[in-house]
Amino acid sequence: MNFLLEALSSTFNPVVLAMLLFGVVVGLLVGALPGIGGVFAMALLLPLVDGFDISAVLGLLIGLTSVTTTSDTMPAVLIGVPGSAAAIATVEDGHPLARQGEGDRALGAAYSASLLGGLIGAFALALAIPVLRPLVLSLRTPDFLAVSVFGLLFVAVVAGRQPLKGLLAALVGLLLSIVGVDPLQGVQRFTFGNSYFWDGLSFTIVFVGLYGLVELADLLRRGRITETRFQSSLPAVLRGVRDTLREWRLVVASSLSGTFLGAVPGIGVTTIDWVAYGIAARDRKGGPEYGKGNIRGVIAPESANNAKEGGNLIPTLAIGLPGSIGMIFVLTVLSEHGIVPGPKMLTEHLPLVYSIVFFIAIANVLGTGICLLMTRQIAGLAAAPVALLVPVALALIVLGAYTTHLRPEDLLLLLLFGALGLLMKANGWSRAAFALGFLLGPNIERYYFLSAQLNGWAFLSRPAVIVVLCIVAGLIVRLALQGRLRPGALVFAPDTAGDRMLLALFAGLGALAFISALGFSGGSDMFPRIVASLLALVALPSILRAFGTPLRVGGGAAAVGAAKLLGFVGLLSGLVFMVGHLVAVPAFIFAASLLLDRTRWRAGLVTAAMSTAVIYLLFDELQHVSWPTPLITLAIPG
Amino acid sequence: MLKETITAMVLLLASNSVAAEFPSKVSIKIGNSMSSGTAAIARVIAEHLSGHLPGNPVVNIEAVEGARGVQLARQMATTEPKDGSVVAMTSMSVLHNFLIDPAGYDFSVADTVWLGAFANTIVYCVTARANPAALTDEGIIIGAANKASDFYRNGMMLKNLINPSAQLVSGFTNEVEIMAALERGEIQAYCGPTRSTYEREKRADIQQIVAGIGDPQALEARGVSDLFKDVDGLDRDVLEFSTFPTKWFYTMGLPAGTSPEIAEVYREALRSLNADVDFIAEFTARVPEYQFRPGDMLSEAIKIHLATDPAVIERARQITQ
Repeated sequence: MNFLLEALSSTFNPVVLAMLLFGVVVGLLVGALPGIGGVFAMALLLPLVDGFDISAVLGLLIGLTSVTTTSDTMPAVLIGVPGSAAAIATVEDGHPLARQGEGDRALGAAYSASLLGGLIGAFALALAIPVLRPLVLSLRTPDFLAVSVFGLLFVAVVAGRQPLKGLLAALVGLLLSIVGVDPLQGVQRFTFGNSYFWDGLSFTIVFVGLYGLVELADLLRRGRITETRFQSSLPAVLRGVRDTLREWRLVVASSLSGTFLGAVPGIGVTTIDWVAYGIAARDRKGGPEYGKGNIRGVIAPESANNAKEGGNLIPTLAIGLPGSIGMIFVLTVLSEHGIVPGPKMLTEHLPLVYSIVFFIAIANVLGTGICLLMTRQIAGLAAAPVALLVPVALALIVLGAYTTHLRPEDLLLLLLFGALGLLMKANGWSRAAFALGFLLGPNIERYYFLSAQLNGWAFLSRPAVIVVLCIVAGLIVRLALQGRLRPGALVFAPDTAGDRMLLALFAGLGALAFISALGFSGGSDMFPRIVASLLALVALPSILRAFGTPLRVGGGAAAVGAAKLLGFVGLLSGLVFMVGHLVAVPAFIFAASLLLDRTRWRAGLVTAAMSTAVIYLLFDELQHVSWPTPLITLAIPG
Repeated sequence: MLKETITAMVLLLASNSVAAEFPSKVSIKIGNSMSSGTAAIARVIAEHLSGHLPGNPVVNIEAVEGARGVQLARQMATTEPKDGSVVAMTSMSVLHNFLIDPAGYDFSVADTVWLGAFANTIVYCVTARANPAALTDEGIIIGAANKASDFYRNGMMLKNLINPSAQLVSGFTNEVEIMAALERGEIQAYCGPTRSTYEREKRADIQQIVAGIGDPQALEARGVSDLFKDVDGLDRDVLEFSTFPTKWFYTMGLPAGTSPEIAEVYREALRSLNADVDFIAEFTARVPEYQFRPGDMLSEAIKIHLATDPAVIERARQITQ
């Protein structure tokens, strides 16, 4: 037990605790600001703590990385813009709750779920320490394939009452995930000879467009965040906490899945979130529909994404393989102090390993405590005037997207995915299903080819693969018995102009992709051809059905909100190109706030100035973004 | 000889006049993020480079991420100023991939004014210590990322030069995944880690080096035409199995069209870092194989590709002519 005492003594050293607290505060801040990642903050802070004791530096890093997924919930719930990729799933139900005036309840549930998830992750890490190495090394590539396919099965769950639309959305997600250099041959697929697409479509841009812009358009239409009068109260926050405690089984299941998947290098936090969301959505008893404010849809991903930190540390400490990008910094610190991750961690450095476990636990308690204390103030954001909130959020979104590659295509894609998201939401197409396809597609293709190269067809005999195949077979049999695989059941009646546009767009994409894929070589054509064929096949019967279906008219108000928002994005993008971001941002925020509410011009002026200062600090001073030269300076002679 | 001496003297005189008008601000642009290892190296260079450039300009780092360095390469070939205020630090992969598959490049990477590289490093092949294998083993499985990656190129060199029966498995996303597969015993070797990363990450207790690509002592003595001739004579159980230079780490270049005078000022400044004790101490703490070597990256790339695809050489020759 000496190692535990040693770990406790090193953890509760005042310097170490101060560094841990500092890490937690920074982690909460970067989590709450869309576009600023924890990895960036780590890279920025690490050189500053050179020379500190290893426990203090690890305290800082673990403190920072453990809580970014706690505070990223704030913008996700309140304005529907995820603070980081880890909060995308939380938007699905968290934001509808805020709109119903239950933002503080959603935040209370999210924070407490994050706390419990973090603690379970830390506990799992502590328990797993003696069996870490064999556990991680027992997995094989076909097992990762099985996990990815299993994740994709949740499309059936998140699609809700529109299974066919969900399937189509997932297939489009899969198809768009193929864009870029293929993982096997290095062949460029759907890049149109443009190097912009080599890295594939940016997750940030796709999801900010699909979720962030859509929610802001909705906000513009409604004119306020909450549909009822907003009353922030401690009892409401505590109600959220009670929701979490009542759903303890879901918390445990989501946390364990988060820890397990977090231990597998290559499985990202977004996948972990959606798998947890799928676990929650399997239970349809009671509560509102998923996607419309079901508190379980908040609790599950929040538990899972905090638990994954413990999981990430398992391969990091056991065999020196970083479980996530953030863990690379942990490995760097360890190696700079002469510590070799691997078997020796369990002998020579056991106190340090348990200190790390304590760091995760303390960071989660501190992070949640700070968030809960601030919830009333933070939830007060929901009462902020839309005329100020939307322009500021748009400025952050547009610049965040633009800094992905600093190319015009960034903003064009943001607009396209914003428009796609608006159409999908207005017509009941599951964006969550699209997300699952988009996130899991690359893993499925890559792990399939790796499994086949390494094992031949023998990969099908791995237990995990057999289990997933049995689940798929079981699902098909069940659907067949329910009569849901009859030709007539595999069609829906597209009765809105939006449905028809999406169907035509998706079928067109499928056909185009199939033809383009004919030119791909060496096996890189297989996956795109299968997905494209399926997409065209599934879409075709419903397209034919459209001819006999009367058109339903409506949605004028939503269309106005959408047009206004996309217009704003286009205007701000144009201004950034023309005059540069430091002139474009204040001009846009002031003009947009005036346009939305003429009475608030003073507040608009102050907001514009303050936002520009914050943007300058974030993008220019901290990140040293290399902005392209504004067109206007090119036009000025000399 | 006389012609070369005169050219050098003219360049030296011209570079003196360039020095008088050298920009007061210089940006080192990198093709990776500000949180990458490349950025950390660039910070060390930026800190010391100023003192070796005329007028001691302020030297900043800027990240131009995207398309695996191609975004930066495009800017260097097309839009960046040619007055010496921008210098790029990049990986030679951009040049390799340009030679292998020029589709998607609407500019020529070869036009960049290449200055040289900071790390003339050796790339190693490793196997798992718990499951040792010889690179000559029949059917040995070598892990790699996609076919445009350095890992694949290194593995292909091994397959072409030493063990035609080796199976090259591509599709891993990065070194972490490849290492994991090695630990799990799914692959038996991979070729890619440098001595510095190998040592820094202290992987010696779980991996062992079995071969090195590009022993710098051997490479200087041999010309391109000698490479294949010597392959049969290689001792396949010892480190080096080829003689290819791999001056592709932290490669420096100036925007296309930059004058030879400005290039000379930079080469001189970068060369003089070789004698800067503080700089070397900081640099070698991160990359032990430090030595800045001026060089023509295109000809280095040609040598490397001899082992992978002779057709690429033809294309490279056409570019140089």
